[in-house]
Formats: sequence, structure tokens, C-alpha cells
Amino acid sequence: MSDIILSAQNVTKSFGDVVALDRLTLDVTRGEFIVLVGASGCGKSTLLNLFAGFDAPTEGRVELDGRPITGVEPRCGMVFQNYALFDWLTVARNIGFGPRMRGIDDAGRITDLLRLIGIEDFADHYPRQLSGGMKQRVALARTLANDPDVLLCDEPFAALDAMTRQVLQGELSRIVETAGKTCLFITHSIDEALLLADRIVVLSARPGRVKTTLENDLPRPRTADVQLSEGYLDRKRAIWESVQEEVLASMRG
Amino acid sequence: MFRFPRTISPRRRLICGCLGVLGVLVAWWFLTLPLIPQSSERREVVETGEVELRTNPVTGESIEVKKRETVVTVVEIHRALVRPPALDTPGNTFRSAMKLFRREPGSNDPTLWDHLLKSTLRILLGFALSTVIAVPLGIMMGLFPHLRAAVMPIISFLRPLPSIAWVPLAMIWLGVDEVQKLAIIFMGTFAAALIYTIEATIKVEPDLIKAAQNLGCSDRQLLWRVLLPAALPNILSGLKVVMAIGWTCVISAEIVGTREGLGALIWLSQETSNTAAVLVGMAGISGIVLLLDLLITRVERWVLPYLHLEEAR
Ligand SMILES: Nc1ncnc2c1ncn2[C@@H]1O[C@H](COP(=O)(O)OP(=O)(O)O)[C@@H](O)[C@H]1O
Ligand SMILES: [Mg+2]
Repeated sequence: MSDIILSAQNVTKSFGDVVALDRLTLDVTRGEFIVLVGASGCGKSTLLNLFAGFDAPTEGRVELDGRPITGVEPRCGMVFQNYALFDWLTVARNIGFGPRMRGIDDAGRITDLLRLIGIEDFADHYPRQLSGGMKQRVALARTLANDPDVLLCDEPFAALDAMTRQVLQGELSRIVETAGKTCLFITHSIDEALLLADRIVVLSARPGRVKTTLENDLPRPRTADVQLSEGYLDRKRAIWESVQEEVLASMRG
Repeated sequence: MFRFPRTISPRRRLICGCLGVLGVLVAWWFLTLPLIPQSSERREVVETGEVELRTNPVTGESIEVKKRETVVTVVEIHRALVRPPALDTPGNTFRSAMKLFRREPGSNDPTLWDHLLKSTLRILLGFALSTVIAVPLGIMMGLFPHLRAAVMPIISFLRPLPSIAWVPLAMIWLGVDEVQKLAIIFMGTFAAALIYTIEATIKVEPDLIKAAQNLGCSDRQLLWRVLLPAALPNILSGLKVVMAIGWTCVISAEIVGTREGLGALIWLSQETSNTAAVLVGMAGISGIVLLLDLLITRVERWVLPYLHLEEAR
């Protein structure tokens, strides 16, 4: 097996006249944490949808482990910005949904996941009884229950307040690292990108292409000290300048 | 004058509600109160007690005749603004209404209970029929845009028609028996039930479907385990409205061919100008709709407990 788990090769995706992605090429290494940043509307969600198999590219190829993705791909687990939890199921049953659909009812595994994300006490609660941070924890656990190889996260923390976001960023880092998952993560926040990523990919304004790539080898865990270091600020400046051009370009239309 | 928040405590709401109802009762009482003075003349022929001798013009005999005179008295009577049978006093109306609850000895008129039962059976059957067809069809129409596009023009044509518009056609095609009544209730509720179900299905969040598919569920599982439970709250609240619409159809369904049912009670009482009975029939419709609404809400709380939980921030 090659080291490349996910790859997009010369991918173009258009919706009618709108070209969302234009000949985009991106390889994701197994176990890598990639963060995608770019102006809104530049095709980030579109790319994630292609990897998840919700949509097919107009031209080019998307591959998982060297095989083209042709239908919805359960090995690429998705985490949504608005949680997409099943309101009518308890936390425990939300987490067990994936396995249950395959006829597996493993209470032990659900308990483990509840413990992993620190919500054992809320197993019998319903989603609407939970705060946003709690909901996103449940959604993450629900995706992990299926044991996907890749986590696709589409701005999962964008709706949370700053404090909750910090806590969840730390937890996600820890979980992804421990479980050895590959992660493709979209965000609007450069700080979030620098905190989480092994590699940061800046997309150009629509039509989206890879504009720059930045290896982010800041030491982990990325504590407050790391966040105030010279290296952190240099990288932040570099990404901001790269993104800024694209945001301005997208605002000019 | 305009303050926020524009809400009041439940206690005040109750008090204001009672005052509103009381206001209507007082207005009714006042309107039927004999207040307006009117004079009218009363003419009476009375004997004066005196006797008069008259001669019979034919026989020439003398006869005694009691003397009479016409007495005119002016009487002051008081009239109400509104008089029976337009509207009787609240007390009298209430007494006439009470009579409807039990059968008069020797009469075989249906009692109010018979009317209520008959209408309830008709509505529930008609409502069940239209729901059984509209809900599955509506879900399919919500899911498949082509089917929606094909059926929607017909539904748009049917929807504006009030149930009474179906009466003539129903009579020509089906006569005046029970089937005709069910057909009217069916046609009066079908379009609404369908549209509520379509909307409930369309409103299901796309991300929910994506999440479910991403977690590996099949199309069949997606329909039964995700789409249906996700759309159910909105379908149920739609059906609650449709149930009320069904009860408004009772007036058109029972316009001919029956002596039983709240609609029949209203129409037949109108012919005899029995205002009290008309009012009772109307109140009956409102009352039972409110009751059923309460019942459905209870059932909903039981079937969908998660909807009524305290929400987090
Ligand atoms: N299903 C769709 N139909 C039509 N246009 C779409 C669809 N999905 C995305 N687009 C368009 O493609 C472009 C990229 O969208 P998206 O990937 O959601 O951007 P991002 O997530 O980077 O903000 C946008 O202009 C959007 O309007
Ligand atoms: Mg997006």
C-alpha cells in the first residue's frame, strides 16, 4: 500500500456555469492532518463532498487508497458544521447509529467512545439538551464509531464560542493522533489551522486550485508558549498574506 | 406603549381570557335585555254594567241589551335590541341547549350525543382515508422532484376549493348516503394533508441525509430510520391542522341526506329558526376540535418525547 491515502488528480467540478474546482491536485499522506483554508465559495466543501463520495468530479479523479471513489464512501467519515445529529435518538444511540445500520450492536464500544470524548454522563440525553460543544463531541464520536480511515471535517467548530473551540481543538488533536487517523479539515481560522495542521493548504479564489502549501512542523502539543513563539507568528503572517489576496480577489468577484 | 418582551404571566393570560369571554356574555345579555320602552295601545270592549232597552227592528219586540264600550289603554312595554328567535336571552338559550342533551319522551329525534358521535365517526373515517393516502404520497413527492412536478399542478388546482364546492359533484356521482359524506371530507382534507407532508419531507436537513449515508445506511434504512423520524414532527403538526380542517367540512358533508351529525343539527335547526340549537351545533364543532387537538398533543408528547425537552442554551 502506498503512503498516499487520499488523492485528487486534476479534479474539475462545475455546477452548471459555476466552476467550483479547476484542475485541483492534492495528495494526502496516511496519518496526516491537513487543513484547507481559502475564501468562502472557493470550493472547499465541494472538495470534501467529492472525497466523501456525495458527488462525482466533472473531470479528473478522486481516489482512496489508489482506487477511484465511485459512491458514498463510509471509510471517509464526515463531521459537519451544524452537527447533523439525529434529534430523535439519544446520545448513545446517535453514536451507535453507524454500527447498528450494519447490524452490530456493541454497547461496550459505545461506552468507550463516550468516555473518549468525556460525555459518559450524557448517554441518555437527547441532542437538543446539549450545548453546541457537546453536540459536536457526539457527532465526532458517531463518526469514530464507524472507525473510518479518514476524517473529513467541514468547519466543525465554526459555530462554537472561542473557549469551547479551544477545548475541542485540543481534544480533536489528541484523538486523531492517538487513533492514527488521517484528517482533512476545513476552517476559516488561521489560528485553528496552525494549531491543528501538519500541512496547511491554501486554495485560490473560485475556481479553487491549490495556491500554496505550508508544512507546519511546530512542536506538539501546541501550547500557549508555542502560539506566542516567533515561528508561529511568521507562519501566521505568511498564511494570512496568501489568503488575503484570495479573499480580496473573491470579493472583487 | 410598545414594551418588550411582549408577553404576560400565565395567570394574567387566564384572567384576560376570562374577561374576554365574560365580555361577550355580558354583551349578549345586554342585547337581549328588554330595555327599549315602546308604547302600544290596547283596545278592549267591556260591559259597562248598565242595561239598555232596544227594539228589534223585525219583530218590534223590546229586548234588554247590556251596554258596552271600547276602552283604550296605553301600555308601556319594553323591548330588547335583539329578540327571539334571532337571539334569546343567555338563560333561555342555555335551557334550550340543555334540552338537546336528552331525548324528549315520545320523540325519536337524535340527541346531541348522537350528533357528536355520528360526526366524529364520519370525520375520523374521512380523515383516516385521506391521511393514509396523502402521507405516503407526500413523502414520495418530497423525495422525488419529478413526481412532485407531475402531481403539483393537480394539487394546486384542488387546494383552493372549499369542501362545500364538492357537494354538487358528490351528490351527482354518489347520491346522498354515507359515501358521499366521506368523499366530501376526503376531498376537503386531502390536498392540505398532502402539502403539509411534502413540506415536512422537503424540510428535512440535507446534512442529516448526508450524515446517515456517510455512516453507511442503505436507501431503505435511510427512508425508515432517518427521513421518516426527521419529518414526523412536522407531519404530525400538519395533520393536527388537517384534523381541524376536517371538522370544518362537517357543515358541507351533512348538508343533505342525514338527520344526524352536528352539521345536520345546524342546518335543520336553521329551518325551524332554533337559534339555540344552531349555536350548540357550532359550539360542538369548536369544542371537539379543541379536545382532539389536546389529545393529539398528548399522543405526540408520548410518541416524540424528545420534542418537549428543555433545550440547552
Ligand atoms: N450543489 C451545488 N449546486 C450549485 N452550485 C454549487 C453547489 N455546491 C456548491 N456550489 C457552488 O460552488 C462554489 C463552491 O462552493 P463550496 O464548495 O460550498 O465553497 P466553500 O465551502 O469553499 O465556501 C460556490 O460558488 C457554490 O455556490
Ligand atoms: Mg463550505
